[in-house]
Amino acid sequence: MHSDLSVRNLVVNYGPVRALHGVSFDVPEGQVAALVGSNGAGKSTILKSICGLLKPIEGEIRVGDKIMSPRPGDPLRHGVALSPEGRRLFGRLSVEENLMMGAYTVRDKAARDQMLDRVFVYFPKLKERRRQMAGSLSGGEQQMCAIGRALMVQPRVLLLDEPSLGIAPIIVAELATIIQEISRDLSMTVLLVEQNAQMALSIAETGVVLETGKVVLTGTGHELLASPEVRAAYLGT
Amino acid sequence: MSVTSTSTAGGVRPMKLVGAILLTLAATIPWFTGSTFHFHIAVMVCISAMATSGLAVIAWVGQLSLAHAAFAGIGAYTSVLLVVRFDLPVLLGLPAGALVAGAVAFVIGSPLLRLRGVYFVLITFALNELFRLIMLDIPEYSGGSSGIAGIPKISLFGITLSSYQAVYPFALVCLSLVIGLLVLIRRGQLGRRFAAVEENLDLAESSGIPTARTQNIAFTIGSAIAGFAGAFLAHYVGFISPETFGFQLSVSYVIMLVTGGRLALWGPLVGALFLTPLPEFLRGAVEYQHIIYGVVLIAVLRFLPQGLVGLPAQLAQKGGRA
Repeated sequence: MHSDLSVRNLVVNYGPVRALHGVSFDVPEGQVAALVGSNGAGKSTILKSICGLLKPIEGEIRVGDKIMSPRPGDPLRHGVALSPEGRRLFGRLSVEENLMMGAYTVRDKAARDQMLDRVFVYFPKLKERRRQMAGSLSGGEQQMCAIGRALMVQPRVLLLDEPSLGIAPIIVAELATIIQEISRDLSMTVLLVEQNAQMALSIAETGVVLETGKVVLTGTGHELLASPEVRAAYLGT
Repeated sequence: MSVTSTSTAGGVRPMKLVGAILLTLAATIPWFTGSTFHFHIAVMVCISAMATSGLAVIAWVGQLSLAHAAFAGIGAYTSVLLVVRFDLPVLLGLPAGALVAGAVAFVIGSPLLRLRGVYFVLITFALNELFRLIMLDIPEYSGGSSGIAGIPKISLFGITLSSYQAVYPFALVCLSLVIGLLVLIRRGQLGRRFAAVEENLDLAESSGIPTARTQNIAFTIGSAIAGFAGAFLAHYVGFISPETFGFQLSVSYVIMLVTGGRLALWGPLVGALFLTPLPEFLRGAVEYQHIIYGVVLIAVLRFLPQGLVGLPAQLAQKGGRA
């Protein structure tokens, strides 16, 4: 199976400070990959680079066989969608309006409506609350809305930044299952960036552990969950 | 707290009905009293409400223009010059005023709207002064500081609306058209785009919404409405000078908007309805108009951050808690 999202030897500086020291990993098509690591490991830097918001010193990012140019908007055109950290929503717009904003670049109305229905299948709560102001949703529902909004462009690669942040554990488990289902049903490539290593690795086919701008471990999610280093560093066992 | 309401006004349905009835009653007051003075004030309310509606459209994308009076002035001078020099019917002069004001806004909008927040406010403040100074500098068109007097009254198909009573229904129709336009924008895709840009510019940009163009559309529409209101004002009052469209008028529009409710659909109307008659009815207090406006503004910002439109919802909430 060929890789759908491929990060090759990525080097990124913030001014004089090197944030990524040649990071490489691959996410095969239709799989969930987890990118875990502590604060400052470089997770967000990788996401920003994939979104074209940072200009890497070296290295390249490919989606399918296209090399992304480091310009905002270029990755979106090639089917990369991001659900940002902190589930940024338009708080005063309704749930449905927020979702439709996600599909702003989709010209075909039928495709938009079809995707909306699909999002409502995965997140029935959003359907119940479609007319409600997004700002009045619970944290978990807001996260669902943010993921749903990213889905609205029918991305080929979905980037999820800390979806478990500040959400009740029971909802985190529910979200994890839904993310897995979405990836499987729509054969969507998902890159899950998480501090919650337990949740992320348990649903990931591929796991990448990052430390101070370097990849220190890779493997399947279950291998990493079982590895003593990961258990000691991230799971506290 | 209501959870189903998505409107920013936050009012519930019966309250909206009460509001609609109150507005209709307020609109009919001059006919009940039959007073010319009341008719005059009612027309002025309509004109202020139209201009403030234009400012509201700009506020919907999160920008505040202090050049609103200047755009009203552009509309006024356009219409007056076309009617006086080229014998255009006033009925065509009004939309021409709107068109030219909108066109000017469209052209200067794209560079200006790169500025945000207080910087945009400052540059528009400077623009309003610039408009006044330019107008004073070209007396052959503007009449200079002595202005243009004896402007033809509004006439519809040969019937001149010379009395206050005759203008008022036409003013109501124009105001309804402007508010109808606002409702259309608000309900449609464009309104959602405006709201998204107002609420979170970066998120809107990253969703693929062309935020700069969206703001320019709002600025153009809002300024065109100002041009229309300005042209109406010119033909109604019969006299304009560069001072008519000074900075103070811009500030008055801002205060009306904020008092009524900055983001609410009915904010401009409620604000104009409340503030236009206020100094007129406090006899002998007309010269204190700006002081009154200032006090009202402070009171509204302190006690009614959502404006007068938010008052019923706020009262309902208080009642619920007690």
